[in-house]
Amino acid sequence: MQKNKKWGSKWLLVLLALALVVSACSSEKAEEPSAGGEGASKGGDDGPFEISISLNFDGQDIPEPDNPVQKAIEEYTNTKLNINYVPGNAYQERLSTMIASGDMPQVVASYGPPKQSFLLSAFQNDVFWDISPYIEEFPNLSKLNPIIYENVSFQGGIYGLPRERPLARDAFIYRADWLEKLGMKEPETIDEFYEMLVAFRDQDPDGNNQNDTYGLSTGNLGGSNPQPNMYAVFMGAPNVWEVDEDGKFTRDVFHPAYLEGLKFQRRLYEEGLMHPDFAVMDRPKIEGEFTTGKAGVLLNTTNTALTYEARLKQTIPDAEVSFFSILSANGEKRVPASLGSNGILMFPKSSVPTEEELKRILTFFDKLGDQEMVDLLAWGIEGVHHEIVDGKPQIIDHEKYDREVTYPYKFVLSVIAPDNLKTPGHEHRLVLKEIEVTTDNTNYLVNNPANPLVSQTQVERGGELEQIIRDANTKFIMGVIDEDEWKAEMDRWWSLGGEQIARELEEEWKKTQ
Amino acid sequence: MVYDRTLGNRIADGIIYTLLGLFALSTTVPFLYVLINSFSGTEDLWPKIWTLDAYRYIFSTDRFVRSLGVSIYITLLGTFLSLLSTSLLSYGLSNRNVPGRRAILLMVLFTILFNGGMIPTYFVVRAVGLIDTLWALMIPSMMSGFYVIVMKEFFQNIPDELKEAAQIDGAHELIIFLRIILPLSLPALAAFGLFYAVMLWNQYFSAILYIQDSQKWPIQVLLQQIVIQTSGSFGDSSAMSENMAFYGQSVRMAVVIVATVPILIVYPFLQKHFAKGVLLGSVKG
Amino acid sequence: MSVAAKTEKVQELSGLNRTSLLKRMWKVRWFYIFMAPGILYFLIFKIWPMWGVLMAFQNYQPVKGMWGSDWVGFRHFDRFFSTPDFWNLFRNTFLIALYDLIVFFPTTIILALLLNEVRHQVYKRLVQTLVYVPHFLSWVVVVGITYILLGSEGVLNKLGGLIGLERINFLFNPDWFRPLIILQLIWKDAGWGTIIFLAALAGVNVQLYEAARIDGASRLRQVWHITLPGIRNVIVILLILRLGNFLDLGFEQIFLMLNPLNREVGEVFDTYVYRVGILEGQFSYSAAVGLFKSTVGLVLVFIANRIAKALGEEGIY
Repeated sequence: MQKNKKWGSKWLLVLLALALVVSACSSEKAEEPSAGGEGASKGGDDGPFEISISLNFDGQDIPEPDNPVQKAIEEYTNTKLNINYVPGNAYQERLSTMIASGDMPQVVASYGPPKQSFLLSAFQNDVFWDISPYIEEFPNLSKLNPIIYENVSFQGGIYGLPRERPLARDAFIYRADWLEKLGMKEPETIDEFYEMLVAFRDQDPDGNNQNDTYGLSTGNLGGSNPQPNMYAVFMGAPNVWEVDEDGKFTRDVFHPAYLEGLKFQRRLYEEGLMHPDFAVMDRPKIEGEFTTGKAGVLLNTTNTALTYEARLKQTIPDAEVSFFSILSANGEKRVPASLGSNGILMFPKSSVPTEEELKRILTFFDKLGDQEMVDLLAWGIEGVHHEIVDGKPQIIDHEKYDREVTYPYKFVLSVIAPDNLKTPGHEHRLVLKEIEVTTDNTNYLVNNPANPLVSQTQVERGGELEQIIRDANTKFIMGVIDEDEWKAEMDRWWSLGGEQIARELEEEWKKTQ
Repeated sequence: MVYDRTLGNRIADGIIYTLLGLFALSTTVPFLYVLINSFSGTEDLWPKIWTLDAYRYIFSTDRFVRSLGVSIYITLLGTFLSLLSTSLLSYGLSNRNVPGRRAILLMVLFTILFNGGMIPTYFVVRAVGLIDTLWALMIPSMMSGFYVIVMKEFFQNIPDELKEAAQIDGAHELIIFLRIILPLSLPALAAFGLFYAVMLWNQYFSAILYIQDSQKWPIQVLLQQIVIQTSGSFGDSSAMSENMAFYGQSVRMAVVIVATVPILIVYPFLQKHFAKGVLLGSVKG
Repeated sequence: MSVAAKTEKVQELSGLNRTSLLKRMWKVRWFYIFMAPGILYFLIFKIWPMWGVLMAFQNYQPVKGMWGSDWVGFRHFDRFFSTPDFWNLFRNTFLIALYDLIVFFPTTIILALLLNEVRHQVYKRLVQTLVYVPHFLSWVVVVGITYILLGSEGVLNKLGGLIGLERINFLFNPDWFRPLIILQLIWKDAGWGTIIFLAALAGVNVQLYEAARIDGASRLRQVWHITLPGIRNVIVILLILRLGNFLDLGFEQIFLMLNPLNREVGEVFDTYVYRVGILEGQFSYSAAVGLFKSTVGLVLVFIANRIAKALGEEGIY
């Protein structure tokens, strides 16, 4: 037995050593940049230029490559697109293996804001083109709001084209038919909002003589990035970070208005104006409360209202929704600004070896901002997605348009958001309102000065630290901890790393000044 | 097996049958709820409106039918490969006379405890040239060290006399394996075949990782996209929220049904192989 | 020591020199051929990528690759062990894993034994199929069902309200967290877990039962003296292997059940590393936590295997 055992473990050691040597060689090989396969594309001057693209995708059907929308894009831009759609929930892993293996197409989308450490390290190591010197050559790309570029920049470089979104588009989506029935008007202040929620709870807005409705359907979700507290910002708190002229950064939680915002939410919770289990509700549940007619208000982005109305109408044909973004407090209007983009499109140097090719690809995205392409992305194809009524376009079937145009092309491929530039047509009132509200919001933006800055501690431990704030907030709203205990948690956050983040932001900020 | 029909035994039967019945009921009701929900737009326990819309929607897309085909293909072929390689290795390991057996067992055990992770595995899959082929869904996860070791245990339970008798008759090892060992191991083959089949059927992450061509994606990718994704982050406007497609509750539930029922119905067909003692008894008797 | 182990020992003692080793190998050459595809598979797909374990000791950046990334020694382990919550995480993980082991694992065996006692074949197959169904529902669905049943306004609380009971906060009260996790686990996977035991039970020699019946052994005695010993080695092996993955818990389930109010008892290594390491794309940190868990598993398997052998079982190796 003894001898056999020895022999066995020796064998194992040899195997392991062999495996390590072999694998080391293989991993080394893998580092070679390989543009191969679909990455290789030499268009030449005559034929269409081939572009391979990897995109995160959250729609329903992945389109066939020869569909009319893609053909129209290819024809106008004189390209041949080879798009690889990756489901959004696995995109981050896909992205990191792409970077590790070097198997990258010519255009790669980032996963949300490009702040993950593996992306930042790729930027530092020159894996992607810094496009900042080229932007001004392109008429459409250069028109984009400089703040949007700045928000995705890293140490002075811009490593991809941002996909433009409205700077402030969070919306309180509410049941307009309920409000009308109760003889109320759209709330403009925090107090009016509170009154609306009370009325939704008490005055039987659905008219079924049962006490089965309530005010706000909300949840406790969100990624690891710090989120502004909407109510706190309305009441005067900063948008996550505040910086003074010396570059000293202060987190919103230490601003008195932040606690006021939490107290407002605590009041909503205590008075049954929101769901008692809000802290464990997931997305379908939160939406379900609203779309089945139990809750009267839901918080999401402006462009989602139309879908909610459609879903509500399936069960409650008379239902109508509307929305607003800002609730004023103390006579002042404020709304938190976000990055103004949804991820960036990056161009790996391994698959885009020359400046000439880079410019050719940038030209493609620039052309998507031309009127013809804007209208294609905003209206689809005539006779398929829209028809001309009284000389103006009108969407035939919103669902079909979303499935065939919005998800596969408009959301993921357009750098310039087409909505504000498109040829005017017959719009759904909610789409008109979306444009109106997001445009109006730009007058009251509260910026987050940390957006263009990168704090190493935030990148490494942000998720861990942010949880302290989130948990304390929820506990406070639910009345599990009191004001002093909440403040103690904020101090804990500060000492565990918050202070360090503030200091790093300050350093970065000073570099840019 | 026969028990005496004494009063005690009948009471015991009564208790056992009731307990099992209650448990089975508790597992069935929620599934029925999912089923009912797939036929209605609401979350009600008993919907007012019944509709086939969700199913009509799912089957109206080419993508769905195609990915169902992919799933069935990789599950059938993959299970065969997995079962063959696992039973061969386990059978070899069950023979205590094989020098080096312990080292191989330790290696297998080692792979259960430690793993290299996503990126190194990706390199291997790429190095062997499986990227963008359906083999990438069958080969990299072909064998589970866990199953190898447990299956070895099953082979060891087969009485040695059976093998020895055949060896004395001068039968080839391969013949012994195919004619004696495998037929005696039908319960184990059925169980591990089912485990592998379910594993193959449920995988989606490797599909996204190793396969670019969405035409080759199995059904679970679709399921994950619709059921899991929608429960992701919400109201996070700086991230991805607006990019999420909206699916009604009914579509979500219908997808759950359509993606699980095909693999679910495999089990009842395998159950006859679990019948107690039938095989050994017949061989010995 | 079992007869099998004894023969093994005798054979090993008899083959001490090299020629006899080669002879022995030649004798079982067909077994090597049988095993070749499997061994090759493990070498290529499991051992080859094993260099990823080394990531735990560096600051792995995909773009730099294995040899380009900086080596940082035990920095990630330092960070992990000095996390203020480390001991809390350890305790939470350990307790849930322990409950899993001493509640869930025996439950599957008992369920299998109960099923084994059912003689009515149609009823048996029906129950067997139905209890296996929930395994195929994803955790999202299972947790959703839990909320419908146990929420503040859930079915149970509504029923309780009708008979005047006070509302119970199942979802937020930390005391309910572990029981709920184990209950969900039993509900979802106990039926699935019986399959392996049912397969093992199929191998138990029926003649033993007949002999026992003639001896007048009671039903319980038959289970204790025939059925259980018949599947003992499978139980032991499964137990040892489970210990190898002791600290791996159903990540998705716990993650979905977590909320700010129960995090103090519910946060485990897997959910922590998901939030901190994986979501942020910090490969090295995730690898370090993984390596820690694997090492604990290794130690536990080693100990368990020793104990099994001391008790006369063959163990894994």
